[in-house]
Amino acid sequence: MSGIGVFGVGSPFGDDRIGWEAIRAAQELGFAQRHGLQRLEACDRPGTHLLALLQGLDSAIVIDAMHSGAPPGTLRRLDSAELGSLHATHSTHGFGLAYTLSLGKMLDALPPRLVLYGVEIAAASPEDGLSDAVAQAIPQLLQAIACELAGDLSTNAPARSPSL
Amino acid sequence: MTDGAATRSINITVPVLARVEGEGALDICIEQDRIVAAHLRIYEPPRLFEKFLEGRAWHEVPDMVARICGICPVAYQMSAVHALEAIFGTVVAPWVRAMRRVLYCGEWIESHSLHIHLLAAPDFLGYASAIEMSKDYPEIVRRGLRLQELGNALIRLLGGRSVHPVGVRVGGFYHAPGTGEVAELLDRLRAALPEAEALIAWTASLDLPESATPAITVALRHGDEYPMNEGRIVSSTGLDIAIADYERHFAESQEAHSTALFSRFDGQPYLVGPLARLNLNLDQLDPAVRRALDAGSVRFPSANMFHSIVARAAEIHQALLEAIALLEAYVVPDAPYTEVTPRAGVGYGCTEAPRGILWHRYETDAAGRILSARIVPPTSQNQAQIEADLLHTLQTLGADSPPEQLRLRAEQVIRNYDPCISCATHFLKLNVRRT
Repeated sequence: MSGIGVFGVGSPFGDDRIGWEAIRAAQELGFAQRHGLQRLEACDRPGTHLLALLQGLDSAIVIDAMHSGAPPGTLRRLDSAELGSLHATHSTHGFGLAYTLSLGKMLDALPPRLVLYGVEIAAASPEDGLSDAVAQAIPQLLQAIACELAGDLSTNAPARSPSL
Repeated sequence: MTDGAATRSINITVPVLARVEGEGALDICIEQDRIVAAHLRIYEPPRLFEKFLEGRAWHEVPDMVARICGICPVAYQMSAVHALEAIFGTVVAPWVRAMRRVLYCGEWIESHSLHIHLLAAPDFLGYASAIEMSKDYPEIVRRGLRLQELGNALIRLLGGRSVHPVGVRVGGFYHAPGTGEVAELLDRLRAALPEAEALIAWTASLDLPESATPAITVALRHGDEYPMNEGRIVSSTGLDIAIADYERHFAESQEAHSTALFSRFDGQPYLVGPLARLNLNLDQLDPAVRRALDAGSVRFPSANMFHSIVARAAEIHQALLEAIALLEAYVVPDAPYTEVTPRAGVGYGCTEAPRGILWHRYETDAAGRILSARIVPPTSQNQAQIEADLLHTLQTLGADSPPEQLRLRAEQVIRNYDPCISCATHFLKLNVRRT
């Protein structure tokens, strides 16, 4: 397979590093070679630059921190069909992931296959590192992504992780 | 007394996949059909960073301050390196000076393009967001994103990456790009010139509200160039001081309703940013930018804050032209930086961030460790002016206007200043109190 990218979005603040830490762990496990990835990258609050990173890819997985009220470390998968639901919840003034992906969808600038993994986070303050609950979610997250990559990101074959 | 029927609260929901966002809220207080208070409450992280910097080594500072903001990291790096070099007596080579300007051009292009297309334009075209606007104006938004990416590419050329650039060090850069990379980017920059010119015409053709809010404008001014990294601080009231004398005229104070500090110039609100910069430096614009501006109907200097969008477009064009000229003269240097010998002292840096002057002060010990740091970002400098503008503009609109109309106009006013609440601007809750 070719033209697949995996991106971890984050910031240096506490649990908001989850996207970066997941990519670092994936790099250490040799994900790029093992799954034939064109890109395996951590991005710092990329805003609409994410659209440039996604440009030309057939498939992409994006990992980001999530706030939904679930216990920290909870994983949530959203596939292409569910991306539309993000539209209604974005801030009209922010440049979060939901906003960027909605804009990309409107401009027909997203890869044909796109999956989001959200990791519920607790604190995101500058003085904190990654909390244990969030750090412990990384193996399960990578397992789910490996499963996803093995299935070539088919929206008919979502990851089989029990918590997803 | 609060009129319950007229009280309106608008809650912006947290995105499903949240970034760490600053939060803002606007409180408008109306008494007897008069707007008596308009408070913008924001949270701004640089205050924390000042403390984090204490005890750090001088060479850690550029990477640390870049983390204050995902949109304007270059500005923080530039103000910091100039301040530290002033302490250490470091004289950088002309190559470093030129490439710092190129890097800053990248940030202006990136930040202004983002603001024009994703924040401001939807207001003037009647859309809730750039997403809705993209349905009817896909090519306009695509052009904006292309320009923004070009800015990012310039930052990557010298910073190594576009968000959190890491290529900057005290004394210069860690790495000099190769001539091939530069040539490739030059082609893209030249190809974008017609788009930048068209953008000026397009912004000037928007149906921008008429408004004239009194404001003292403050910007850097340099005898030989449009200001970015160097210059004296000047104002529309005749101020002309060295950056080291900033604290004699500008003071910050805490206001009960905001966690960000309010800065005042001799006790008065003042304006920094693209409109202030353009008004005070018209004679330093490239003639091609002047021609493009003169072809439209908006005239500068302008007292209408809604003309900020045109000023931003003009600065994109200016930055493109400057980056092209500087990169056409590019040569790979013997060394991309000057060696630094730390020493004790106090130094100042003041550069023109996309949103206005960003002032830094550092004190170091003999080993170059940071003893104290002070960072005054543009948004806190504009805060008092934003509130003064809100009062004036909303009163002109009419305090009896429907809350929704007040909210929209208030948001437009605030957006003119492009407040940068760290990595995101995430507002607006509106509380209207009528008595």
